Amino acid sequence: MGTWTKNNLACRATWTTLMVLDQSDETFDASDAIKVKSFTFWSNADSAEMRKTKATTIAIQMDNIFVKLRGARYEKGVSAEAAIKAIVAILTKGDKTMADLAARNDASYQFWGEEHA
Amino acid sequence: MILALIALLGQEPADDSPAKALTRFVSGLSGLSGKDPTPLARTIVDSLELPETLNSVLDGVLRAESGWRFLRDLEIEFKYFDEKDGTQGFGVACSYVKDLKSFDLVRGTTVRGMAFAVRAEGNVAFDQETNPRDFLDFRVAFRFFQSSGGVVREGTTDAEKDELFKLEEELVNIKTRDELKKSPAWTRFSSLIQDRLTTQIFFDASIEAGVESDQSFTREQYVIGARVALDIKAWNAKSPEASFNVFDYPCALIRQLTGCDSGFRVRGSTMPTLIIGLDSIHPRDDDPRTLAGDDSDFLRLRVEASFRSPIARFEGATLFFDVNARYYLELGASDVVRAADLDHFSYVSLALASSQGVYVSYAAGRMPLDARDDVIYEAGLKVNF
Repeated sequence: MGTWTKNNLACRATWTTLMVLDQSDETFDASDAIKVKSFTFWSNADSAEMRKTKATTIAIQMDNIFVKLRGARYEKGVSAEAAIKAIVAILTKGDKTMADLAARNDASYQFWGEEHA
Repeated sequence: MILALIALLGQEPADDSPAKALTRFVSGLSGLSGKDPTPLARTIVDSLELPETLNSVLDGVLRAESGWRFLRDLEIEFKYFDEKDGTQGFGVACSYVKDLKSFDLVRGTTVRGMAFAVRAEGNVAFDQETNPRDFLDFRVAFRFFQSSGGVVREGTTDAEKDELFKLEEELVNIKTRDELKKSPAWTRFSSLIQDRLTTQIFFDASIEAGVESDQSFTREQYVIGARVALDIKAWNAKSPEASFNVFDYPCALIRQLTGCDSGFRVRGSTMPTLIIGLDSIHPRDDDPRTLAGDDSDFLRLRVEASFRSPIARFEGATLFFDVNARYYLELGASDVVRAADLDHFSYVSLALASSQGVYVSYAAGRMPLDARDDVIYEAGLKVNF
């Protein structure tokens, strides 16, 4: 599991974005271990192709919010496609946690204010 | 790995409990066939009896930085299959979805891409008779997908980005969910983002070829077809599109009545996701249609719809209403096929599931190649390790 701290901008942005997208609504302190299978979109009855469709929609929207609304930039050597695919890879694994997703986002994005944090 | 597991199941027909089947298996390994298993074997059996144990071990193997990493897109979940007649079976649910090669293009808020993909999924039960969804599906596909919308093109100003940054610093320090939801910081943060969200339209079209079979591969059919997945999400709760999500109206009412939401708020974020496919099916000798007297190729429409939305908060957990429905219809089916009731298949799963693992579910119907209808009720606790 990735490190979950209030000073990590990827953790903060991942948490608030999932709340805005109605996928989770717990406090920051209670969110690190929340599993993907507890997110609103996840249904155990879905086929694999259904799950990937939903995960891709959310991954693209998460990227939209990070980049267009929150001012994040891609880390050097990371493309938009790679960042989105990294999110999809986490969102299609039910046992991954919000902290895992934040860690992956931390590797893909440089968040607004990161150079000063 | 999947085929090896199926072969293993074939050697050990389970005519009783999963634990006994595993006991025989372990006994056989230790040369104790026909005798009581050793204490070590019994210990292994006891630990293996829980699907969660197996899932935890398997996850560690597949996710680790090891030679097995090529299987990291393989999802295997050990589980019990329970039926209303008291029958209980042990088995695995498997799925593998992988884009072998993709070419993506991102322009503004539009993302387009193409990919060669493989997909395999299905349930395998130790005792095939207990498999509630005896249907394996293997496909290779060429996909084209596009997402448009989601956020306004102009984005936010630098001043607004600074404000969001500062609000977030405040939000992470709030200690309870109620305080968080009622805080001015969340109201402002949510408003700044929500007002710039638009409706996102994602579609994914593909041409596919593959094989469908039951778990013993005694019934098989080849498939060539096309399918479209459509996922529309009205992320902005104030948008007119959000109010079109009529499926969420009962959930919104329950959320209001239970105090989960402070008012009647329909969520455009839970709009159902839809997959529609048209397949040309080429059956082989032992499929049910051939046995009924029609061995011709045929066209089949398939639809899968999925909807999930929160309905209440209870003891610190969120309770979700969850529906998945699948329908298969043979177009222009012959009288023989219709008389044998093989022209359409449906499968519906309804569940109330808590974010902490407690669930109640009902599933009914059958999939193509499944020999019979099943009705499965389940209630229990899925433990998150």
